[in-house]
Amino acid sequence: MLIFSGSSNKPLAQKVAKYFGKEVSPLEIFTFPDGEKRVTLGERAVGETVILVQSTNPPVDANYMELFLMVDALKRSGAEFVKLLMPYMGYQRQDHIFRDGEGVSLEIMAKIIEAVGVSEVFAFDVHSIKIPEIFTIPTHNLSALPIFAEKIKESFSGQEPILVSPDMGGIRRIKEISEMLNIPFTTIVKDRDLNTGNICDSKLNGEVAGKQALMIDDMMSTGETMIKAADLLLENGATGVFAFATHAILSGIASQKLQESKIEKVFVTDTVEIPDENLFPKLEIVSISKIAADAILE
Amino acid sequence: MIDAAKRGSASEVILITPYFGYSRQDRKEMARVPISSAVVASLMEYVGADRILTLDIHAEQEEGFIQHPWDNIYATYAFIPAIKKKKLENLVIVSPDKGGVPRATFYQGLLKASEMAIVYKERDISANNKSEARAMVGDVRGKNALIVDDLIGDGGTVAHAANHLREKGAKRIFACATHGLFSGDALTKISNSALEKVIVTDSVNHRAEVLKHPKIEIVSIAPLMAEAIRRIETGDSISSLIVG
Repeated sequence: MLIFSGSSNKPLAQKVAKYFGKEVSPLEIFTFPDGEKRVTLGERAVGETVILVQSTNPPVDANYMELFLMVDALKRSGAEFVKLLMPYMGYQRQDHIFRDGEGVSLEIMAKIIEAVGVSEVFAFDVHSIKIPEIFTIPTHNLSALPIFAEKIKESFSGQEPILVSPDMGGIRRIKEISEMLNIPFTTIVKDRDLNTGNICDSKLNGEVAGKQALMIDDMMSTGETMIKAADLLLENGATGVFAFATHAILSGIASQKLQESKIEKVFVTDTVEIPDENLFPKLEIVSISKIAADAILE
Repeated sequence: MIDAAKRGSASEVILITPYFGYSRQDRKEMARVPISSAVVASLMEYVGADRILTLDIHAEQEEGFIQHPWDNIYATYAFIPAIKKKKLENLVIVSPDKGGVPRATFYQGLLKASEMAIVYKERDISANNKSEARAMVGDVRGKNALIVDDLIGDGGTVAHAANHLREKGAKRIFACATHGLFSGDALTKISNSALEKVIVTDSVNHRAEVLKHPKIEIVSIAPLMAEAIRRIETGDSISSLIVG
């Protein structure tokens, strides 16, 4: 078995490799002056089962292209199976037609992933549980919730916190972690303008007064959802607000806004590599590497 | 876009890609590399393109990467009037590498040029994209030269070839290339080279500094592409558009 990694999340690849007692195999990605990339494997892959680690977070298209080229190189070099660990799956929010005239971008990515020769996909907390159905190859939707549950047990023992889903789309997720921890949950109902993607209105579906509110979501991009939800929770009497999100996309000035927000602490995982300049004091990162390695071993 | 068109019930999607990115990575030039151009071509097909139309694809064999029809037309016809206008006598057509010889021969025939020359380029693959003109076949002394190529990337190939031709005694030196990418410091290399003029097409959208570069001339391939599209629609011959 060999482990290769694209350029999107090398630290995670190294952590996963460690669970297998391996090193990440060398792979060169050279970029020509016009922006085209050239991938060269640094190790013989004939007959091997390869674990390829590549998240498709921003720059999404560049990371996808790199992925396709790596898989093609592996297959043409004789790799038998390519197991793709794509902790964050780009385009996952475009999993159906929202408005007339659109394509289904995620389905296109899935088609190409299969066409280039990936044999199995491992992803984390995809936006909708229907996503694995888009693929015809085995696709596993792993979850970071067990790690968050552990973290909550350890940090909020003896207290009576309440779990909060910042939108109705997270209802399945919030129920799941609520059962794991035996802690009650509530949800926020938010409306999104389909043309601009902006949130226009939100209200709380329950009681949070006098409690620590723990928000759980699949991803954090601009941070706006969490920040607005925190304000709403505090207005409704929550004593403190904490945020948990699997994927830390942190686009634009999200890090700065989160640091300046009323959220006390932000917990994320390493499905996406966070550049140093986006780290902030309130941020704590937990690793999904063990869950990923265990799932691949199975 | 192809997916959106297909889901919008388009009966046929004809993909017009004048410049086809990744077309230079058309083979395994060393072990353990992808055939990136094949990846791109086949993904267009998987997504739903029913037909592809390109302009001067790097290697015509790439048409075999997909099962659907792939038409490739030449920008040569757009270039010929622009070259003839320069009234170059005693003209030698120069291929800047071994692979471009058929293209140079084609130009030679159309322009009724007296001779052809080849500049040998040695490209060290392991050193990535560094190329240098080394030697040439043919005689250019006292003659006007026209270098023909499919694309200008960082300008290294064409600038080196031009300087080599100057060393060998060529008088006026021109170049024409279908796709003018002008990546990296290409514009500086062209400014500092022995090239008098570089003619490219509008197959890619040029940035302002390319448009106002004193040595760069742009001819439009729009009429040629339009004619090809018309023929695809009517079922007329595309190949007659290619061979003239």
